[in-house]
Amino acid sequence: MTIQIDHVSKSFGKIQALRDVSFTVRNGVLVGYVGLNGAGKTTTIRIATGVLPPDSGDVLIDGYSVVKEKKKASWRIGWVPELPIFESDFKALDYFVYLAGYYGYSTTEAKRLGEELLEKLGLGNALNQKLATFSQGMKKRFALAVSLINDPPNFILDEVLNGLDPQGIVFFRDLALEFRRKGKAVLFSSHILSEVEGIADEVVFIHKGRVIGVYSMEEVKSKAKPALEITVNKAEGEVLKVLEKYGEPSIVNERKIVLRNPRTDPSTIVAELVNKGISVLEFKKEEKNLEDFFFELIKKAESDV
Amino acid sequence: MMPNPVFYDFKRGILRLSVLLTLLLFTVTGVGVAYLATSLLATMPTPQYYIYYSTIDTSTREFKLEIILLNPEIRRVEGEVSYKLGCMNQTGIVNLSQDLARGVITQEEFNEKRKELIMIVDEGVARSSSGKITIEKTIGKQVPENYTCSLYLNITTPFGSQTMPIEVFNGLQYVPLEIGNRTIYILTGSQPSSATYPLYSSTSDFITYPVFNSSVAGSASASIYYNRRSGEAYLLLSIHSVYDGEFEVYLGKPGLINTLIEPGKPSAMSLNSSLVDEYFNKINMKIKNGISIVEFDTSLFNNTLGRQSVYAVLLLSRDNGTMYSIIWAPSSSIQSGQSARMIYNQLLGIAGIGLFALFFPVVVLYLIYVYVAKPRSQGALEFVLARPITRLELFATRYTAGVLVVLVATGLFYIALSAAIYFLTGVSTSPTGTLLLFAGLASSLIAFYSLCYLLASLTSGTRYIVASVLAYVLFAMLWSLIALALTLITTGGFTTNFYEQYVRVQYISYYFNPLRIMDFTQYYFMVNEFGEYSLIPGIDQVISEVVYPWAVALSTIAWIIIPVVLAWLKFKKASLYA
Repeated sequence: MTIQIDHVSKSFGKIQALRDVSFTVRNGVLVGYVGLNGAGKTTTIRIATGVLPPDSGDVLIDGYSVVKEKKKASWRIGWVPELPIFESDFKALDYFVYLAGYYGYSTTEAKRLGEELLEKLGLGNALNQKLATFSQGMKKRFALAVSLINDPPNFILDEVLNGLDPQGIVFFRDLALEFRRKGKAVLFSSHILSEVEGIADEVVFIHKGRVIGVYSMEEVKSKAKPALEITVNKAEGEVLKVLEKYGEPSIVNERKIVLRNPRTDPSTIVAELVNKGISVLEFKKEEKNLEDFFFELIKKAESDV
Repeated sequence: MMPNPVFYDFKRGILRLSVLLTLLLFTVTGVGVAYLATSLLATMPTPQYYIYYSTIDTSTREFKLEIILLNPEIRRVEGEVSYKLGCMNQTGIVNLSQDLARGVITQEEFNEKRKELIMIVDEGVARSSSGKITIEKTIGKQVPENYTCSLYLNITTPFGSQTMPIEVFNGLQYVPLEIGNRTIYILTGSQPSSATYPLYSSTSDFITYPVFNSSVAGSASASIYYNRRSGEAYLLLSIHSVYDGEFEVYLGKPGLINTLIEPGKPSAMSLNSSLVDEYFNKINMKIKNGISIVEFDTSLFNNTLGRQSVYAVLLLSRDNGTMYSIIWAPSSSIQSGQSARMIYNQLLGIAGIGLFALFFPVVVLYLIYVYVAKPRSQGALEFVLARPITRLELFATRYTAGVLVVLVATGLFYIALSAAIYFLTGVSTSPTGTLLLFAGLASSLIAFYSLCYLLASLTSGTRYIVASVLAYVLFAMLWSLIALALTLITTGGFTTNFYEQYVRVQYISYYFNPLRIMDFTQYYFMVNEFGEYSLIPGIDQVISEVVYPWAVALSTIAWIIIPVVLAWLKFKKASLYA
């Protein structure tokens, strides 16, 4: 049960969206696919699901090429897009039945399965509701229900937590973990590293169409730096001068400063600030800042180029 | 087996409210056209054909009336008949005539009093079912002795109306048939012309003609109509005999009349088997009391069509003694195709198939908007393509579903229109004609569907709507103007042969217009059904010079296939993302 992205490149006109992207998602492993917006995550996923032909390279789903054996590959992969788009004139159950037809289900079987899955995913009351009226969360659940028609061994969840309420976020995180438990290969994309922190086994970082690092979650955590978030009356030169002695400060906004990699106890830093007549309004300690690690990777990748 | 989604896409295409409403609208219009054609027919001088059969049993007062209504092609047609059964005292009319002769009454008084002599013993109105009217009832009044009865019919069919004023000698007169001590009045015949002869019975096996030693046992009437072009002939028979069995039907061989009257030749005709075979051809159909239409081939006339106006018809039964009648049936040619031609001119015109062909393309372009252009512009096709389906299958599924919608919608419209015309006028097309018209209409719409499919692959959303509407305006509306402009350029103005040249340019240009494929098939349809397309001299010649079956087939295939192939080449690599 693997999703193998194999030297995939793709351009849209003059813009090169993906450059020789390769990584593998194995069975029972949940891989976080992290990159800024526009980095190429969704393009990779659209190629992996067979809906966009690559310029070069291939994606193998359990060994089946999405380019040459698209039907077999698609049979083995489920996909919940970031913004699922359906033919909006359809009612939910009707569209489910229509799509189930591609899996060989008769209308009666598809109806029964649709009612069961949609009910299970909390859409039991919306069976006869038009898809155009669905919220983002409902659309994602519907896309999930369709992807579960044949319970495929591989799954791609593309930015699924975007735009969801807390309940929805918990639902999809738990679902991803359940898939992993069942031995499926799961690719979970996000533009926020912390979103995949608690669930991913590995993280693939992508930036400007290139894979800039593949790490296990343990490695990511160990490489991430702790930080202090300090809110003062006015974040200005004097404050920075004090903080530079204790770490790497950076101004977030006119009142907030983040001090990365602090070399001493936070209370010492606060005492020094107060002694200098700077009023400290709030003080927060972050053990490890994953995003900083991510940004450092990006910085490094850009300097390499 | 086709995957379910094709049927699902087909279902959601055909069951769209807009498609159903349009279809209904066109069908209603089509039926309206059929009515229009029918009302036009009624104003044309077309012959009324009908066969009638009636009996009145004076002892039981049982009245029976059967009528079959026929169109000018001798095919059953629906209509309404109102009848009046009028009986008149024979002595009364004799007395009145004597009064007129003696000058006791004036001619006007005679005419007036003559009407008063007619006693209406029964009347009624009936509508036909499958072209036939059957009335069986007990009449209210007893027919007195020494009365003669006549039937007065008012008949209305799509081909016009016929009325018989209630006047002495105007009606269809019954003849009395004495059976034992009771009298049955019988009436057999067909209109507009038929011959009625007595039916004889005898215990002898050998009957001579003229008849001896035999008694009148009924009445038989016959008339013959033939269609030179189709080679079909119809024998309209109406008989009543005391015998309720079946009669064999024979048609006299050419020259039989001369044989019978020529001195020195057998002046008497024997009805033994060998002589029947010598003088008659057997028609393989048996008839019983009542009315019958016997169809046979004109080859039986042996090249005497149009030269012999009367043919001998022999009805013969040997089941119970010998019973027979020889009827000198008048024969006439039926004016085949004139009414049908007029009806089909209406049917093919702008209010019939023309209307459908002009406006249904709008539904076609809308269908593609629903199937491809809109979901593509929204990005909805990607989610479908993520199923176990190839891009080609997605492309083909939606194309096939749309083609099925076009075929079914065209089929439903065509069936409704043809059925309405058939039920109203009795006119139907030949299987080849039906296929030609349907194929032409369907091919035109499928070709336009293919073109729009290409436009949907090149564009999407609103841009598709603009492109497809422009294509529609060009091919459906502006084309004739373009042909006109081209004609003016080639002829240099309105010259004497301008119309011929315009027709030529039009037909050449139709090869380059997907919506005009049907014009070719309509041309072939008219030629196939009526032997010619245009009533204007020379036009058929002009068309035949530029319309070739292979070119029509090539143009049709090209219009359907090429846009689809181009559409696929574009769709194959297109991003379906919004």
